[in-house]
Amino acid sequence: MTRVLGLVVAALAVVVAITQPAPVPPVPTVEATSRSEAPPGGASHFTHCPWSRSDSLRNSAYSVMGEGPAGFDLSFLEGGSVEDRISGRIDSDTAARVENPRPVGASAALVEFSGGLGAVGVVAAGEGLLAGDLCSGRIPDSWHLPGGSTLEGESLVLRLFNPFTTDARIDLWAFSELGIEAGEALEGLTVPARRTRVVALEEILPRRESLSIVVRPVLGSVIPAMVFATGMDTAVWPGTGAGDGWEFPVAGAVGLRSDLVLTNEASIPVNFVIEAFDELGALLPAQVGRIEGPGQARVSLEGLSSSGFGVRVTGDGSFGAVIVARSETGIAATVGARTTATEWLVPGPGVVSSGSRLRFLNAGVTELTVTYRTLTPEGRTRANVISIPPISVRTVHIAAPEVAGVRVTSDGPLTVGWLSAVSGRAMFSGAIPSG
Amino acid sequence: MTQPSPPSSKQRVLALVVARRGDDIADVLASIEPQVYEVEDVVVIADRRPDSAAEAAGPKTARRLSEALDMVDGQVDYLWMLDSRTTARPDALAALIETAESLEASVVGSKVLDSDQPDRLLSVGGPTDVFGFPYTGLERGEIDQEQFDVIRDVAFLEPASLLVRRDLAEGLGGLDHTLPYLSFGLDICQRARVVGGRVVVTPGSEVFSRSSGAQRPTTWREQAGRLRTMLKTYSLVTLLWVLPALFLVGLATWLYRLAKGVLTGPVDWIRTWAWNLLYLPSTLQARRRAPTTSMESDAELFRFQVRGSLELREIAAELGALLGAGAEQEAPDDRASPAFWQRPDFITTVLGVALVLVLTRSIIAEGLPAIGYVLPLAESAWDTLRAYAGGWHPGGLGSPEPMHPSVGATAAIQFLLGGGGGAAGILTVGAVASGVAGMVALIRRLGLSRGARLVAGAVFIAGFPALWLAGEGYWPGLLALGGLPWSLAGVAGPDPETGRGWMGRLGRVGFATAASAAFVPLSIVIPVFFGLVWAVVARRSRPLVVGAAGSVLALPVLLPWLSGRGLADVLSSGAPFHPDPSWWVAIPLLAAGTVAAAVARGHPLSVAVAGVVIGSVGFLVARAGSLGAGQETTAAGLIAAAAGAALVVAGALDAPASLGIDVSLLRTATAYAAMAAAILVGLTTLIAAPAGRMGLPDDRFAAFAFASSRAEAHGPDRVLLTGPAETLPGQHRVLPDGTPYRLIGGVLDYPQAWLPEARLGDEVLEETLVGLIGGEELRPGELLARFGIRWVAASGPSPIADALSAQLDMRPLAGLFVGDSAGVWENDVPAYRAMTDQGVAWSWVAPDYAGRSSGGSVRIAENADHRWGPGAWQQDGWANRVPAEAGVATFGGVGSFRFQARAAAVIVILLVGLSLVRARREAEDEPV
Repeated sequence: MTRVLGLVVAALAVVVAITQPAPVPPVPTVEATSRSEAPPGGASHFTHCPWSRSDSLRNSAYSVMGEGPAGFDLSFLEGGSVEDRISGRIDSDTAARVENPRPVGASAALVEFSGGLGAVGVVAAGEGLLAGDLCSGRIPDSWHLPGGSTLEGESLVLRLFNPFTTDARIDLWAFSELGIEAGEALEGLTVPARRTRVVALEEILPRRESLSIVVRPVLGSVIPAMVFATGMDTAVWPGTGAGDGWEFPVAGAVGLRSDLVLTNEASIPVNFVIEAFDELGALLPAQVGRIEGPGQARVSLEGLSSSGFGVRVTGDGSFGAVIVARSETGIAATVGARTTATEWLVPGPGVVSSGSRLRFLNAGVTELTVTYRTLTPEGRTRANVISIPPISVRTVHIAAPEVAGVRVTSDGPLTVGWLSAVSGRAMFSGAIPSG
Repeated sequence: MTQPSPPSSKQRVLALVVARRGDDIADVLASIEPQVYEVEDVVVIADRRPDSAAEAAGPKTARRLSEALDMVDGQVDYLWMLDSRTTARPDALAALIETAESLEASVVGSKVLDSDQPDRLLSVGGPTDVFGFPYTGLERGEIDQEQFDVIRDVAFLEPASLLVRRDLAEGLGGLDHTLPYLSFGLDICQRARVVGGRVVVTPGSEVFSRSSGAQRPTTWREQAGRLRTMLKTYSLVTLLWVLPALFLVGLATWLYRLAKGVLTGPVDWIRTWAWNLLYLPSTLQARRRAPTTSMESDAELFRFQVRGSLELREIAAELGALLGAGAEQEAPDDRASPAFWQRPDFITTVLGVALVLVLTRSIIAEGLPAIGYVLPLAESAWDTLRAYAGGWHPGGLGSPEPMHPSVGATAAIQFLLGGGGGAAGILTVGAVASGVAGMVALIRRLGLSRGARLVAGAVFIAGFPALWLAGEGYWPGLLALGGLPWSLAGVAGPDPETGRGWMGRLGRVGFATAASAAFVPLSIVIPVFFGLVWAVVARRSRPLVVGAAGSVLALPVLLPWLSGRGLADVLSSGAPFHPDPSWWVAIPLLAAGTVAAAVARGHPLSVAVAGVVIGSVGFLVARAGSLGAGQETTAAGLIAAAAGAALVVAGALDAPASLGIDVSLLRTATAYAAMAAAILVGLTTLIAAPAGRMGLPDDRFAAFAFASSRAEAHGPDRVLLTGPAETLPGQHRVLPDGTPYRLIGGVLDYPQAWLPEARLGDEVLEETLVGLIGGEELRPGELLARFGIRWVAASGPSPIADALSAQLDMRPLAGLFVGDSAGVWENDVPAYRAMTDQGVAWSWVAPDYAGRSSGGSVRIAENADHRWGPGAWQQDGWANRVPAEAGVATFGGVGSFRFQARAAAVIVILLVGLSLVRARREAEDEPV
């Protein structure tokens, strides 16, 4: 009896034991955040500016804005250490401007905000140069820099800025009209800590009509920027992460031929639709296309509108996008906005002596009332209210040279950018969503 | 008894009564009077002579032999020396005279019987070892059945009754009155042998004496006496090797007795040598008077001596009995057999020791690897005990929560071992050895064979449950194996006959249970569960009662940890184990258990049934993580499974032997199949043999020594560890996204293996790390410095490590390898656990902080608790701030936890005391 009882108990216990699944690891109580899925670039605690240029003929200015009162430290990193540091403070009614912080040559800087979030834009102007765009806040897993070319007489330089304490190692994926480009010079590039590495693409991949780059870090992180020079003008645009929709309030301007260049680093193609919006609110023809996976696509926006216009491009997958606009003498480029917002920080307008044009894109179906407030370092502000009809863009002129930034608020979602032109040279720039 | 015939020619005999202080000599004098063989006279040899009146009324008294001889008229031929406690039969002297005359013996001794129990033998002379330790050859309380009634040459005679030729006695220089009883006899015999005299015992001469106890030869006076005798009688060449050997034997003996709880061993050993040093001049004088001491005379002595040391043989026999002796053990006098090494018990012992040495040889040679919970013990055992008794828990950012009982237990053992760094290795090897010995003792008690005992011992400590625990680096699980089988052996043992026996039994079961529960707390229920199963199997209720009592008695050892955590938390907290044995281990074990329980008979059946029930239920508990069981619960399940597996294997191995010739061939064949399966299971224990570290994985945490090697003057700073959970030491915390991490306080040690419940500072740290992973922090070093974190080390892939690829103030240290895909970063921002207002770092001297006294305050980066001091305490966010004036910051302690810890210590000491009382009593009853 004991024998039977023991065997029955043991059999039951073993059967129950065997059927027990392994304990489930603790379930995350909040959604895990992946860097690649971080919200599209808004104001942040820090931002990286991989490029600025100053010399006797050219000036550069850093425009610093905050969501609210904040302190900032502008650190220039060269040769593995912090070469210079400039500190300042801004509040909700001011925007700071730091001009020519480094007297000679190209430099890279890191801006840290304390006590609040902020945004920074860089503009360089002078002989043969009008260029600038926003500094990069968040760091995606890979960077898209479409829109370059290396035809005769053109210079295309990729600046890789590593402000961090760890050496970075990266691979470059290059796409041209020839397809995917390969070469040892594109693989395993080391960017030492607290240094900037310059990759002269026109030497590595010369005579490419359309050249796009995807920067894929293997170890550490870098912040890239593309510097494209034609000899008469220079355009600079930052790297971005991939997104499945982009808005470009500044996609085209009178006298400029614009191309929208798209990159896809995934192995499956991405189908996209481009919608255009002009100041008249006319229904412009939409374009559809496909980005090979991986690969690039260049879409000419020439002839879409006789006035300034903006575009929205949406795809069935993630991709990178840049607008590159050319004239006989000038060249401009900018990255798009991955999201719409009701509040925007626009650093930089006013830096260019001839003035700038602020452009709003309302891709929605309701009219928006927008207030934009110009900010100066001294705290002199001026607010203006305009209305923007549905599915249209609206451009306003910012003429005051002391304006370091513009704060935009709206009663509905929109995107904001700005452009400037002087002596045949041109530049486009984006804005930072806030709030 | 045969009546001796009177000698042909009358020899004159002087009776000498050797009076010892305080003894009444009336009886011995009375027994001399009626001797068939008349004595010429009687003289009492005493230290001091009585006054003249008393001497006139009583026998003559002398202080020396020469004095006594002078008192006798004329020449005597023999001296009959009687101890003052001896009484002689009337024919005793006649038999001595007859033997002396017929054999021409120089010294003749009588057979000594117990005066209280006249049929019991006390001594019939015998051999000694080279150190003079006597071997009686008698069992305890052996009845005289004339089995020794033969005249024999011997090396040693008890001086109860000795007949010595007068001329020899005079030639030897008289008697040595400095010697105690036994050594007195040895001295006469040895000196007689040295000069060529013959020493014999004649059983025809019977005297009575009082038993002087089994421990008499081991008293320090007798040891000292034997040493003096050697110094007097051995040649210089012999002394050159005998004395060092005696020194070492004495050392080993007192160490062994110390381990048994006889605390006087070292003192006795010192007194033995000190006494001889004191008496060295008289010893040398006596040696010079000796007629001859040469190699030839030594050879004559060696003829009647056994080889080796009888004391060491006795120790070996006791150890053998511990491991192998059972109900069928041979007579205890076998321990002195010259061929003791050929006995099964000794062979079992040797195999058991060899098994332990093979499985732990790397630990013995190189120390423990640092992996999982196998962490070095804290530098100061005393400070750890202070912290354990209501002090500050050093895990994470600290807590007043009580520490795990294993921290207190390991620290206490470390303290008892002198606080050395090798205590952890000694503890591990000791636990493994104790586990083997305990399981052997348990299986012996359950009535199975020696082979079954040894294989069961191996399966218990190196079967799949134990190896699973070891593979997980769960060191406390290995340590718990040391005590449990002894507890189960006590539960299954026969019922004591007396109340004192019951007290001892319960004390031992309670102590053994505590020794297991201190490391795996929930193993405290295993004895009561085993008691329940064994009560059903053996059909008697006592095992359940004893098991329950043992568990209850051991319960205080879990204080104050249990009261601080609460039972529900203990049952469910911690990452559970989930053993998943290989089929080639599980199937043979299942087959062995099932078949043995189905076909065996008798003891093997009972053991197999108990084994399958305990093992299967233990296995179920060990895999109950998905049912809510936590780390402690599943660990206890694995321990139970280990015990069950050992019982199953033992039962299966003896299954064929349990069947008689009346069973069918099929059943017999099936039983042999069970035995084969059990052998296969036994062979699997050899898996751990090649590495020789009990299945523990390779060292992983030695790489973290950088925190010490790069420490600044104030000592090592905190390290934030992250990486896959299995690569982190001890317990860890988990961020909301599942990222494991933990803090260590610079030097990685065992008290930090266990983490207390998260408190305010831990929550702030978690928020900081979440922000870091979210890419929201560019200067993590600045944030981590507030927690005193100078280092971040990733032992493998981790989102925290990924986040450090893009920051500004944590400097990566190239070349430091702490794991695959890992790295170490050093904080550029000064990061101190304790820092004064002036920015001066204080040192962490666990469990306190110390530094330069100054004005202002010092911020202590430990979880805020108002008991930090001295002086006015302030909460600084999640941390503490106390005045820096004293130069020290201490945690005041939790009174109730301190009381509970002390009470637990007292109860453990009481349990140990109960066990020792029993051991001493038994030792007193042992035969010499």
